[in-house]
Amino acid sequence: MKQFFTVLSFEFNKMQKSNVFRIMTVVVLIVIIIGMSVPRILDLFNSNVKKPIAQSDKKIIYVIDNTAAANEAAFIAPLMDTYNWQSGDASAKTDIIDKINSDKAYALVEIAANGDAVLTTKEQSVSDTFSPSLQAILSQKHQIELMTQYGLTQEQVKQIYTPPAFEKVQSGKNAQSTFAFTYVLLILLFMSITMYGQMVTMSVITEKSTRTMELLVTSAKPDNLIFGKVIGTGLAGLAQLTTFLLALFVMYKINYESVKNIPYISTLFEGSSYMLFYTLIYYLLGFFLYAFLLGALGSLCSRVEDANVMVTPATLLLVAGFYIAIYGALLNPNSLFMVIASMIPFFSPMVMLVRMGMTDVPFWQVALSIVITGLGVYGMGKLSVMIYRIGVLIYGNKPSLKQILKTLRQAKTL
Amino acid sequence: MLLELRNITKSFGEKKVLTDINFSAEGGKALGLLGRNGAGKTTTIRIIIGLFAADGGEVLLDGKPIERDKISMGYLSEERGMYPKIKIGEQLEYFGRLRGMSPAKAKEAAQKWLNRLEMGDTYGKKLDTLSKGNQQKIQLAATLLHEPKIVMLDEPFSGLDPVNAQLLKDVVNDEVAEGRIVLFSSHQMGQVEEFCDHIALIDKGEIVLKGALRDIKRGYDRTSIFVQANGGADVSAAISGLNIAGIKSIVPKDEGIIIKLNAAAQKDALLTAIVGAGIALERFEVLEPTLEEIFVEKVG
Repeated sequence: MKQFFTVLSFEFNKMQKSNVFRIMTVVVLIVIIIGMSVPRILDLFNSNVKKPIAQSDKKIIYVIDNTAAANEAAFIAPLMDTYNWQSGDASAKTDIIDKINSDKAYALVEIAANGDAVLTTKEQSVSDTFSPSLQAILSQKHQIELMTQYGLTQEQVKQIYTPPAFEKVQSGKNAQSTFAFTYVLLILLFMSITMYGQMVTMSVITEKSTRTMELLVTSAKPDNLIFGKVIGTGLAGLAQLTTFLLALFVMYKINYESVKNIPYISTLFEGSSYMLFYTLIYYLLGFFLYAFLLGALGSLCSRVEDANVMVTPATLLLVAGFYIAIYGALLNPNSLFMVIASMIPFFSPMVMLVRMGMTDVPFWQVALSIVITGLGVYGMGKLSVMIYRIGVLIYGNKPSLKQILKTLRQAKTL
Repeated sequence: MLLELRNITKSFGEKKVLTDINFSAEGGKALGLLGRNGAGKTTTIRIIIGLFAADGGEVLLDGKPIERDKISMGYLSEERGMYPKIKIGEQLEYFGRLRGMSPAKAKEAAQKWLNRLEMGDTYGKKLDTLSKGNQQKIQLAATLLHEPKIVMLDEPFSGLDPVNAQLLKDVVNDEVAEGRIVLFSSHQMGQVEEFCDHIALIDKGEIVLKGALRDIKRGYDRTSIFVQANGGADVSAAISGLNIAGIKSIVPKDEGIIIKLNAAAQKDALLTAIVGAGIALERFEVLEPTLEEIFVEKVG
């Protein structure tokens, strides 16, 4: 036990002191600080824009009004007051179009006697909101005029335009509202398992390729070495994640007014704490499950270059779990397929997390999933020790699946 | 202390690596574990350490099955390496603690061994800033800092300059003098002869020769004669011309020649013939077989 803690603290410190880890911590912290400040900076910028626009800065729009009342411009102007509305004369149309082409005016609106309108502009931008707004205003004005002509009172017209109240009530979870929260957690889980799991692999391979392993395996028991490494790395990862979340939280509080309406950020801190608790449980289970697998696979490589190919099976399982979680939950989080997937150790951390976030999962299912995944972690830990104690002494070409199975059979005899 | 290996066998899959390995090593004496590359030396050592379980046979310490948790061992493997980016003192402490030392003891031992190996100023340096030979000395410190009762050194001299080799010789001699069991594996027979009282020679997974080096040498016919004429004159042509029966070969060495005979009994006839021919001799010496000769004869 003493040896295990010695390995654990050494691995934890080694991780904390490694340049990659330090650089990553600093870079992510900078990204968090800058990223969380951007909305506030934009707000400062936007608040300048929101000041009333000077009449001279407004875009000029000419209206050639052929209706009997000739009151179109007067009707539109207060509704779209960010533009400078001016009445134009039909005879000056060519001059107005020249002005539009030379960017001295923005648009020309010609309204026929029956209310039909023609809008002339130089270009139309992708985010054009002018023409739909104008069209809606003109249509409404036309409808009101017709209704008045047909004898409806102002009050009746107003009633027609007042929609009935519509309220939604649901007894369970609102998947739409928890969607962002759950996916933030899922992505955090996926990224951290991948990142810290890979660190375990690289750490084992480095020990092998530098031949430090020869000294290690003759100084300590293989199970202490791999358990200490996986748990030490896991704790270092958890410490880093906690630092990131704390930084996010502090920046969230500092910039609260600006970021409170950004769903992916606000849900992380406004979401339920019981989900954070289960995320922690599934992070630990998922990390240890994959880290043991990745550590064992790493022990079979002699060189860093072999790592990518060797860890592919683990990566495929992890990616499969991620996609099942995303697409399965979008279709039906409570389908039989999703219930089964949330019990399979390699998928459960991600799938169950998403199910819990988006629907009400019966407690027995959550408990069963945690127990099965826990047993999976235990089994994977045992298996990884078996692979590791043989793997660390194998040098040369990267072994085939057949050789790995043979190795395992040999390991049983130890 | 007596370490004994009895009837150790080991196979990897279909391949039989060790067959009935029997030898013993005594505290206070160094045992040379010899053999060609791939003969099974490393596997034997790994079985002693407990990295591999033997398929059959047993490893005994003082007559009882060895309890590896209770006896400390130090193994300097042929493949050397430690953490390149971690401070030397820190890693030595780590290896000391892995072997059960307290942090304070491990630190003290690390400093002591670095000083002993004339590397005291490297405590706070990273390993990869050192030359290969110096890295090897650090590895030796890591092997010995917990004062193991059984010391196994695999090719300890490879890559060391003469000064460091002498330093290492002193260390090994001290280990032996302190009563430890020292297993010494090397291809450099001269060094084995220098340190080891006993040898065990492994070939293709089997012990082909073992025992006290002196007895082994005595058991060999002394068929090599060193002859040096007065003034170091070259007499090989003159001796060849005598057509003495039983001469296998004549090879020049230093200021004389080495004459190999078919049988040890022919040396008197050789001396008589040389003196009879009027060749003035400065030296006529019957040579002991070297370990290298024995090695080549047994496994070559």
